[in-house]
Amino acid sequence: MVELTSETPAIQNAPVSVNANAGEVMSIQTNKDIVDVDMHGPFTIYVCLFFIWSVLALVLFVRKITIYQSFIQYMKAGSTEVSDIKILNLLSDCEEKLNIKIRVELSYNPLIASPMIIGFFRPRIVLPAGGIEDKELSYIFLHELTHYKHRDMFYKWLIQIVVCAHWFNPFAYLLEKEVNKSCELSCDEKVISILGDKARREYGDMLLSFMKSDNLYKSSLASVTLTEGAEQLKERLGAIMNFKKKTKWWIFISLLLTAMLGCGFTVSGAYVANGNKQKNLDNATDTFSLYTNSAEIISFQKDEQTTTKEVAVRIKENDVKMQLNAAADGDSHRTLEVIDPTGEVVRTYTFDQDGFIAGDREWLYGNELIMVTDVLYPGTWYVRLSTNQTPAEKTTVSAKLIDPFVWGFASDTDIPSAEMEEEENADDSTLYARMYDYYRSYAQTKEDIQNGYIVNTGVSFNERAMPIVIGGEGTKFYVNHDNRIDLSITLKNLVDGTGHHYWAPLTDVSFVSFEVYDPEGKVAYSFYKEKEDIENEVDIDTELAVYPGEWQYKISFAYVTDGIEPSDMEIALRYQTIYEDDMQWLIDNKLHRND
Amino acid sequence: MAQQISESELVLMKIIWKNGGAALYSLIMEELEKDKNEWKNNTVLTLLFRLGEKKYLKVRKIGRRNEYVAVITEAEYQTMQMHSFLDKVYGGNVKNLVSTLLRQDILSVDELKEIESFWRKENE
Repeated sequence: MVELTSETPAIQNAPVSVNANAGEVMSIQTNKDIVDVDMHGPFTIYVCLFFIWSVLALVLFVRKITIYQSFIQYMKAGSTEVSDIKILNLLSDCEEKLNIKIRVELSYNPLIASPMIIGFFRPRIVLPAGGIEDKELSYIFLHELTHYKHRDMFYKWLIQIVVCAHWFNPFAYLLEKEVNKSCELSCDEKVISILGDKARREYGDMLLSFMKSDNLYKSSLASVTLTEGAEQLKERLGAIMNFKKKTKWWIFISLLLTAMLGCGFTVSGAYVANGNKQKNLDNATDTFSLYTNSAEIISFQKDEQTTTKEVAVRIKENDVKMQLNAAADGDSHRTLEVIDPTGEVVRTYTFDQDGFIAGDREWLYGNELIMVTDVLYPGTWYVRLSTNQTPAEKTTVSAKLIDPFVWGFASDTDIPSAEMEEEENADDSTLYARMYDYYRSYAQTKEDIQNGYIVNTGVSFNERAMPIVIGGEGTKFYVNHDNRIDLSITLKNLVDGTGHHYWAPLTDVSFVSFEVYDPEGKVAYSFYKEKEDIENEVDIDTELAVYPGEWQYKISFAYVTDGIEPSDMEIALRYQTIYEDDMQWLIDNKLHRND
Repeated sequence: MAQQISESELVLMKIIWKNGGAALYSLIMEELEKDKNEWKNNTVLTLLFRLGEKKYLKVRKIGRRNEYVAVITEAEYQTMQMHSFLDKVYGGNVKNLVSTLLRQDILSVDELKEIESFWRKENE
């Protein structure tokens, strides 16, 4: 039997039970008591708050799920599967590029505004109705598939849960926006990194076109769409256009030379010139149209008084870069500027005959500056050359258009006509010497020589490129003392290119070749890799004994970089013991060959 | 009545029918290559999956490989298409169809006589 005490409870005003069976009536709870109890019991307030919070959170979440389900049904009703083999193949290609093994379905739906991917475990890409070009389709597929790969759908729902749980917290909504934005931006980045520079503008245009469309339904809960609001879009477009600037840190110069000289030697470039004759002036107002051979656009005569000259250059194409060659004379500073159609100065470089003063990513050979712009768009651009004093010699700026895939600069690519041959630089050896040193600027070459380097090429591409240099007579260097030379070769992430969808080098075989000849003309060292071997990593560090005499090295190569992994090709020869006269020879014959 | 299938799906069905109503994935790919079709792996897989959903095919596993078995035979498919064509274009009127066949010389009178005598023999 349970014993009940009749003692007063220890806590005053605590609720007590009324036990009818025991026949004892304890204290009766009055309203006052209850109120007092609430004041003193901390648990009930929190219980209430918890209740309110959880009800609201649950209601919001359930509402989201309902919206999602009705959207899915709405979508199903209006969708038709895509049967076009071409498009399905395109999707297949994109899946391969991203290494996606699961099968992704594809359908049309005229009711949606922009392409989206739905489904967590059985992804389906839905396209808006209307003709979409193949190129755009690849972007779309790559973008949506990347969403799948990154599992963005899960993250979005995770954020929804957080937002529901934090329905009272404004920062949760900001977080939601940020997460959505970063999902989109990271997909854009992935797509661009695969597609390359050329496609950026088109990708941005495509995003804009989807924003403008007036289809009916957009739901960000159920889908991961291509566009999530105009503000985000602006930021994305900005990010897309600035993408390349992020990779500024990489050295990504390539020199593509094309020249056909009679001495049985060819150097091919990744892009073939169309051999147009030069046409300088379009009309009286000094507007130039550029072609693929250099045309002189600005010239200061010796002792001419003006100190600034500006000319207009009409660009008609979407996918070109402009290369400017300018020389400095005497003691004057030169500033070369490129101005875009909106009037903004996009490039500027100041130099004198000793070298660089300000600017970046330009090349200085002797006292010649070579500047390559970023990809241009159609419009009237301007080139301005200013000097800080009257020119003591004739100074010219010449310009030409080059293929956007050229990351360095290109020498004139045209087949020399009879009249040009006469003007041709008679010093052929200068041209050859120049070819092998193209990865280093004047200042860098100077530093290399002071560090004992005979040759130190080095190029790393972060984007797709196709460097090619074939043949040539070799570059001489004179050894004055018995010595040893450190020889190093690095090849990384070079691609054969022939098996891939994009172009193969013009020679049809990829290769890298490096040879060193002793004064007797015999091969002292030889390195050669071709075809698929190119794709294997090479890391050679060896040394060569040299004796006094005239030695020669010859570098040739043709390969492709895929732009996905940064590539690396470095070939260097370096004296172990640096002798003054050896160094001086290099300075006189390599650094100052143009003097 | 079963769902409509696209042209490309029909190509796959024909390959399977030609092979006796069942075919391994590898065989399907070989046949496609023979006809110079450049269909990617994923594309074919997607189409086969859709045919499965539409109940035209059944997938059977032989070891690790997939065998696709036709659930609807070629004859059934032809009949189906015939009905739908007849309804759509001739409003269900077979006589009009035959008259078009004869008038446009798609079916010659001799062939028609052949069919008639064949039919009479069948019914004897």
